[in-house]
Amino acid sequence: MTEPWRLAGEFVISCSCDWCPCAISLGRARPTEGRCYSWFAFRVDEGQAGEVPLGRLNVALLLEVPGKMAEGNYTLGLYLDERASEQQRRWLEQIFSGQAGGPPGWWRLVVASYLGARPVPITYEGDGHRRRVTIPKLLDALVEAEIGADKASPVRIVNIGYWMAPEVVLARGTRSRIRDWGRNWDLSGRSAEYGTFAWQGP
Amino acid sequence: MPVPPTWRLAGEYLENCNCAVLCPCIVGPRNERGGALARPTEGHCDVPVVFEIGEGGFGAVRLDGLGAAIVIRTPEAMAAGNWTVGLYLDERADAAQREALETIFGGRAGGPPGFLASLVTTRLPTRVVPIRFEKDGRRRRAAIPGVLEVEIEGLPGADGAGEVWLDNVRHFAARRLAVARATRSAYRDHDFDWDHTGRNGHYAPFTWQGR
Repeated sequence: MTEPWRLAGEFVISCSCDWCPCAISLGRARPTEGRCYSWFAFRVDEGQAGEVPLGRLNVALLLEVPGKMAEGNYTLGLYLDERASEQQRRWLEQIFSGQAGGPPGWWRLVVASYLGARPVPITYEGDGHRRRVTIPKLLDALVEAEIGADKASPVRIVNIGYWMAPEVVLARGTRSRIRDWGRNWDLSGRSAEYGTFAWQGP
Repeated sequence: MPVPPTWRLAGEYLENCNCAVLCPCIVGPRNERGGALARPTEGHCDVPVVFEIGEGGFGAVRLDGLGAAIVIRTPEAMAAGNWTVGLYLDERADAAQREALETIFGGRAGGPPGFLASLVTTRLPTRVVPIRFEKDGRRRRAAIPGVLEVEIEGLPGADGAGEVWLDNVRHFAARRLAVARATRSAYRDHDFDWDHTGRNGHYAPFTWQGR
């Protein structure tokens, strides 16, 4: 699939780091626990691939990285919104596995093991500085922003050359559990981030 | 009527600690006073912090154009205290200016250095030295001849021109800090001999006041 596509919306990442050095070092720092267990969730607000509309769909993924993120050897599993049509699902899988290029395209270089894509119900909710992501029986999370020096708004990293987004809010997984594909991770109390993304490809 | 601050300083600063990029103290957990609870990446923190005052005054004493530096060693998490601190004051300062700088940077006149003062257990003898500070695009350099030579470079930002910034952080120098890495770093004085080349750095404009 080489047709042009674009996606825009919001994302949350919750990982096993005490505090995540990966975004700012562009994957060259060692995760604080030596390896990275994480999940990502995306609320696609607007999107189109070829003639296929992709707005108002959710996507999530499980990602396991054995060392520095820049060194690869990732294991990736995808969760695609069960409300998506077969055609939409095919596009979402292509995009989020990196096969359709654009910002996630570099995953083609670093994903060594692809677990597949499951159609599931994904709930992505947000209010103020909190985000909730749920996939029944698999993922249960509440992520809250780190409130900064002004005691009212979050700490942010801005103007970052990160492939996900140039700006991220630093957060923490108040509650963050994922259990699937033989993994059973409790990332509660660990590092998290959220932000808005606007991607296009290929 | 509110009492006006006794002193005010505005200028540029840089720091270069021994942590890997990014220093966890900036973004990690905090105690109720805002102190950093994160374990520095090497377990302890060694950091020179250098200031160039563009404009400032302490009461009637003008401090424009003067420099100062603080070196800090914290044996564990920064909030755990037990800090060893040394001060360097610009040799161009006259006696009144020197006294003002030592009062402010020694933490005896409130403001951000006053907040740090409660964590200090050992104060090294203050030195009066030439201090140089340079700002050049994403680079910041500071030098004290024979003692300190630091050059840090801001991580290139997504916009292709500026640097990566941390915004709204709880840091004594400033709320908005550029994220940098040391391209050259040597400090030798007292019983310390540090080389933080390749390690974490920050720079920013700063504005402080206190009384």
